[in-house]
Amino acid sequence: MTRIKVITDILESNARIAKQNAEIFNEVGLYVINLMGSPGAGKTSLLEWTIKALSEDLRIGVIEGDIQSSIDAERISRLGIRTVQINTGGACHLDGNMIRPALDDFNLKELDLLIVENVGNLVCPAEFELGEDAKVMLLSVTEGDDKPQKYPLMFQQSAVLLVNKVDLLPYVDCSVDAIEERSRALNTAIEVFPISCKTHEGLEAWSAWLKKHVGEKHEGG
Amino acid sequence: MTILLPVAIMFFNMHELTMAQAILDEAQQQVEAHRAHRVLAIRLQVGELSTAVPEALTFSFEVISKNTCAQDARLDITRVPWRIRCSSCQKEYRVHDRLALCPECNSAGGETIAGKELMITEMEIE
Repeated sequence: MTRIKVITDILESNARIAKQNAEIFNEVGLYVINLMGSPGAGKTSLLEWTIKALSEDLRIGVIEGDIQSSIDAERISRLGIRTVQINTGGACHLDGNMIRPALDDFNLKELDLLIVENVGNLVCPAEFELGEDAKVMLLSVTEGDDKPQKYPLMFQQSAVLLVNKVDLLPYVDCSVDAIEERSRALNTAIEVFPISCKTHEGLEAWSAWLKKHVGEKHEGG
Repeated sequence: MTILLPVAIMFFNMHELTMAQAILDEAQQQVEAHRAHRVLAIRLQVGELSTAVPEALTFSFEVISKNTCAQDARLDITRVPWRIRCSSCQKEYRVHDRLALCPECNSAGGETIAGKELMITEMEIE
């Protein structure tokens, strides 16, 4: 019997593919966000608003990840945006390998922003890199302010936290301050934007953030 | 403008399967590299923050390692505690259950220095 030391990251093969994806994006100066959040947090509604707000200035493409159905892709393509739906057939997250074939359906050179809407889930999407520039997490106030404590990895990995449905705050026991404080304890650099996709409150700040980052990558690339 | 792209994956509703496959790939490579015949044990470190569930990982590995050189290999999984370096006073401390205040200076949070591991550290082969 032989004992061998093999210090290997189990997710290394995914990390390698994600890095290759990132190289593809960097080559054409394309900014990519990995949008994550629970089912029903409002990811697709956020996408719809963001596309309407930015599509005059930016060329946007969307990859939709869902276990089943093309409902989301149909919603987005109604806005005249090229959308590729990935059905994971049961898998709870997208990984670097899964989005690769979808990239062939875009002319990446003619895009400024690619938004990948991950499978609705607060658990494993946090662990699988896609090659994105930023992970953006959407949490709605109806889910409660204890989520940073329950799903710490998600909050640690995200560059931006959007707290959605703030128009419902009078009806739910949830404190945006508590969410913000608990998120910052996990991730001091996280940017927090309280928003409502219903009333459009706070969305200008989010789109300004996004536009700034897309612009910076474009200039660098 | 909608393009449907089904991804063929085995119908396991869990991400541990992806991880188990990566472990099996590594085990097979090591067996080949060392001209061994089979894998007896694989030692893993899984951080408390990792989303991998040890039981699901073990089960997935059992299923996919059938009829390979790693069949019957034992997975020894060590959970690595979540540790934080306080952002104010730099004290390093362990987090139990949920993020609390620094035991030294009472401020909230800091940089995670351990607990995200998902690593193979050692294998026994023959």
